[in-house]
Amino acid sequence: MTTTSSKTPSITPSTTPAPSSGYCDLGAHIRFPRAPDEESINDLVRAARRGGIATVVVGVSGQPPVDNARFQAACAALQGKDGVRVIPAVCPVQGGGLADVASIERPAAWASSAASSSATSSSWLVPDEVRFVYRLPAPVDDAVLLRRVAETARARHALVITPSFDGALAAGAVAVEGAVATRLGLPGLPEAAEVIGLTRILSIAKLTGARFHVAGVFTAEGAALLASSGNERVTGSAFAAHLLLDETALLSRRYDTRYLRQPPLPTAASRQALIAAVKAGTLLVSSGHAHVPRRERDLEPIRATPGGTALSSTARLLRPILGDDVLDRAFGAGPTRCLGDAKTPRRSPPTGVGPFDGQGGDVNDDLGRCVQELAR
Amino acid sequence: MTTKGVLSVPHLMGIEGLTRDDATLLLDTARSFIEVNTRQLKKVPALRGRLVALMFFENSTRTRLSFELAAKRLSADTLSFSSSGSSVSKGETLLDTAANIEAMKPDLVVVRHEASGAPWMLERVMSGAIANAGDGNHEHPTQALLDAMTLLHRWQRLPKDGLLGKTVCIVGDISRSRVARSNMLLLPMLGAKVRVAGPATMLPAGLTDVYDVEVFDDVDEALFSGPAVDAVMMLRIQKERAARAVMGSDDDYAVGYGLTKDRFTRVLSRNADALVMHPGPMNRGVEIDAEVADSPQSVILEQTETGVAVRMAVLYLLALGHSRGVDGGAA
Repeated sequence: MTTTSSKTPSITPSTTPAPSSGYCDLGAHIRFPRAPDEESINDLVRAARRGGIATVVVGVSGQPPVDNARFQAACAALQGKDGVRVIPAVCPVQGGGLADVASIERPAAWASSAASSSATSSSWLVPDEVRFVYRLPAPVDDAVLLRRVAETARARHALVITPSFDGALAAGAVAVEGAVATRLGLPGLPEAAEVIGLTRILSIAKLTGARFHVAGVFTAEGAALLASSGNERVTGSAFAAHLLLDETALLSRRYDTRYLRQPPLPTAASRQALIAAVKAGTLLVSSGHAHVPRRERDLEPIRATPGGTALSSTARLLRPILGDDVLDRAFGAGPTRCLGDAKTPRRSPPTGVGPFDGQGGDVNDDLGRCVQELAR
Repeated sequence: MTTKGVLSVPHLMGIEGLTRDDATLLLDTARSFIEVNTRQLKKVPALRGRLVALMFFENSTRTRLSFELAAKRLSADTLSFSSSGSSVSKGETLLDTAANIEAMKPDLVVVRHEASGAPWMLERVMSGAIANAGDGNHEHPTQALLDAMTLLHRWQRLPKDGLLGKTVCIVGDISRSRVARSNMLLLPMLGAKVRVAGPATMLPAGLTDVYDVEVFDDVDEALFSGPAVDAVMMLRIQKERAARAVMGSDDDYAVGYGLTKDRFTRVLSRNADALVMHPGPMNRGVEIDAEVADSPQSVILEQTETGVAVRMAVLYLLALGHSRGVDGGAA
């Protein structure tokens, strides 16, 4: 069993070879270059392995992200480590325009190549379908820019992973607009922001033929809109936090910044709709993994970085509400298909780790601790 | 439940969390301090030897002065902190600042901060009783208590009798008003009917799910439909918000939602005893006409005066509860 201490949480790598296939996560973020108290790519890979995740798409947090090419080269160096395939996401948008995509795709291509040769399974990318993953770290509200991104993605066989909501309506929001936000005096994001954002994405996808994955769907209406779109090239996923918690947690755990999420925690009704959509197969699951240093959580709610989620516990936390079969499909086979993998990998159980220990889990496992606190 | 003259809560974080008994106790205690404040010697030794930290991370004139005077009239020592010129302006976090002030061992902490929830953050690192002097858009409980006390005083009612049968109309930017939120909890708790009115851009979602109030986006409908209002509480319009497209010009606002002389004359035609309130500072000519603010029906300065007594009551009762908590009821 992996040993951890409540005072100095750590991730201990296992020497046991991991299965070559397992869960597939489209929703991990990392900061690069990292500060001393932040998570490294090595940490992330180990956490993925502990969580039974064999394929992880990693994007760079921050707007605009910096050093994307260096980040991708660093990811490439880790290919196949502990049996985890790391897919570095390319950020095609920096500032207010299209980045020099070619310059940052070069190391990504090398990473792809390295992954193909080092992973223990067959090639993880089908060349004719998806060669790169583009990750938009923030919503692109400008339809012209989003169209350019989509056209570029289409031409280069890239999957575009994007937030679901309209960024302007979400500015400054830390809760969903409504009774809870009003009662706590917190800036709110109207649920309609997701319908507006998704409508734009679906229209641009239809216009350009690009493949999109909408990560972090958080409303019932958004889930329904995606299910009814009829465009097989657009998929969506709910973050683990939005399936496990709803906005009422903000009332019971007043102003505890670990409970603040981006996008904000859904209403109770939306959370149920998200779970139903995952079970029905119209939504996938992604971790929404992010590491939040304590110094950023200990700020006032309107300034704090939303709480973190750990790759190591995502599957374990979701299993009780989704069951093994749904989890296999929504956190394994489905996301893998988004990446163009024709194979359907089976779930691989976390190895080298015992039941989730809230006191000694990963340093960034705010979500696991929140779930545990609310269950008490 | 409130027992033996002690609040049921260790801190005054907001009106939410208080019981009706708590509110009555606070207002009853404030009444006795109103009497103290009429004496020639306005000081009592209730908090002698206690340290009150006044932590104002946001600009404030009347609330800060009122709390400071309240502490002094109770014979407490005070420790004043403001964010301008402090380490906060050099980048220190709220919790770091709080930890440093905690090292000076204040018995009571009065905090104002621009962020909703700041008092809850302080609770994590400070051992003294906390009084919320306004947090973001969330709550301003002492303002609501002094508003209620002013109304009770004017209407010659005892706190235990409450405000049953009275109607208060709150007008302005409800969405961003901590004064409104606290009053929307306290006034109905005391039995009053509350109407709130403002432009649609200033009315938050889910109001009636949270508060026992009627909501209007037409101020004339709020003031002139149904039973006559007994008090009109105007909220300050923060002019800088015009830049965020939540209101048009000052003139637009004055015509549409301001308590103009004509509008107030109509209010008085329905109830000649109707009162006018404002938490201050006022924008004369925007949310309220000067003639209305200075009229005999205005209780704006009484609100300020009553505020000192209410804050004396808050500090006194929090200190009492804190002592009992700390000393196991020995105080």
